[in-house]
Amino acid sequence: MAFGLKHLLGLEGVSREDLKTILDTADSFREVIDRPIKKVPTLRGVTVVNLFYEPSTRTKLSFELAEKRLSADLLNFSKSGSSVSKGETFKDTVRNIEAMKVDMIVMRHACSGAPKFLTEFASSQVINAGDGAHEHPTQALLDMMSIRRKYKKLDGLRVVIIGDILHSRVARSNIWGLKTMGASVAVCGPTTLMPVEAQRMGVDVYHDINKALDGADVVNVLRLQLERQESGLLPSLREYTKLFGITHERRSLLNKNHTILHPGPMNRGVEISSDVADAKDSVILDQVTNGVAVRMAVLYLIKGGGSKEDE
Amino acid sequence: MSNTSLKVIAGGRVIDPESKLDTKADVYIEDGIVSRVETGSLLDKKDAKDYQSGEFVWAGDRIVTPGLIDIHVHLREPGREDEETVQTGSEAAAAGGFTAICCMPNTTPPIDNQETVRFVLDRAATTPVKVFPIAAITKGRAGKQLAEIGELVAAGAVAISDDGSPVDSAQVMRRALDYSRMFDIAVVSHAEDNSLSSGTHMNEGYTSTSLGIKGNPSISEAVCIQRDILLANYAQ
Repeated sequence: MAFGLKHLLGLEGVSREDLKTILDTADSFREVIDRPIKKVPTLRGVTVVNLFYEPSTRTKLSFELAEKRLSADLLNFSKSGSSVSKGETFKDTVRNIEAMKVDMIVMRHACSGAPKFLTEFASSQVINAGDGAHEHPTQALLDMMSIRRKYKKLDGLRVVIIGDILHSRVARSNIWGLKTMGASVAVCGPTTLMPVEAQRMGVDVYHDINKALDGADVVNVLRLQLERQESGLLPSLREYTKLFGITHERRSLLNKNHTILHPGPMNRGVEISSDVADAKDSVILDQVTNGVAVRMAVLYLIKGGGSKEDE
Repeated sequence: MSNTSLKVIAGGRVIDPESKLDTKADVYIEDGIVSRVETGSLLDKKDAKDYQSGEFVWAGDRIVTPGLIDIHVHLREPGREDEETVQTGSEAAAAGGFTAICCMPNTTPPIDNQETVRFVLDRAATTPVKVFPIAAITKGRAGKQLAEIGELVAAGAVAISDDGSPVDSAQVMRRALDYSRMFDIAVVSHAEDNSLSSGTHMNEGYTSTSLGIKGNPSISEAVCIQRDILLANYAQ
């Protein structure tokens, strides 16, 4: 098994074989973290920096935990209270951190393309933990893992992503990953939150939720940023909920054996109703558990765990 | 031999849209003025040593054109001399075949007063190309109050523009078009509707969608052009 990626910047262009390797490895690590003793020595001696230029709770904690469970040494950097507020450039900050001898950088940044830029001058291996509205590959991988664990496949499933596609890196990464794995992907949201030429990403585009949900296996409900109303993209959250909110009633449109995902944090009563979020069959918290396993897999494989030389 | 100065630029591909010319030709220059463009019996490179009448310039396979004029350049002086100066921009223009350039007023301070027009012209006194300053439409290029357009033209400005920023207000643009008619100068529009383009980083389209980068729609330019055409037609 040869793993082809030096960095994980996004899922666009990642091969089916590499995606499958990540998901298979994540399944193995899921077994590890379900054990009473959850730690393995896999990345002992490897130093990882979590470079978070944008606020994050779940992704940051998830990466930290994944690194700890692989026995890596880790450093946490966040923008507030750092030399960034003293006017240091991004490049200088990274070069200074790298001068302390680190191996991998996990980065979250508000600017699309920032991790790609990082790889152009840094010597570390880079994992994108979310860049602007571009990609959030590990979130999509944990979504795919959660779907695959339920259906034992991704091929042939019909997945609908609902909400603010325009600003969503989660949507983009899911589209690329799911399509490569053979799923059919649809996106659905208000016309003002749909990027131009979205269909060229190879997805069906819907603005009528009833049509979008009809016969779907999986629904991925995106978080609606509350500021979209203030910026004039939506008249009101109330109307959004009425037109696009996932409610118990709307579940009846889906395939009987369906799954509802949410990347969090949820706005209960806006994009998803509480009864759906808390339903007995909800996998939303299981996604979070899988997130740690997927990030362990990505860290391990990127570091070279899956390369031929190691075998 | 008379004491007129003679020069021939031989062997080049001569392009002159004005006379619809695009052919191999020799250009004869007498006292600094093109006196003849010979397309019939052409000189050869080896004629250089026998050429007694004046200076012989072998253009080889290069393009020979009338001096080009760039009506939209940024010389960045005063204010951003780290990027460009009147001198460096003029040298670059000369190297590219230009003999005259019009520089935009979005400097710091902007070219919105006579003194800055004169400063630029003063800097351009010894440059290899002619520099024609374009002055601001509004004071501080802020889009609110008209600059002293009459004074600016008197000081040497050849046109007005708030280049770098659009004139957001249709009313101010209308007045600029009306007022400038007294001086017979061009009003150069920075065609951009900020309400459509602000915060964007690239053209809007599939690439901006897949990269997740906020795209600028082409209509941000078209809306402003259409508005300014309507205003210009109305002003006449």
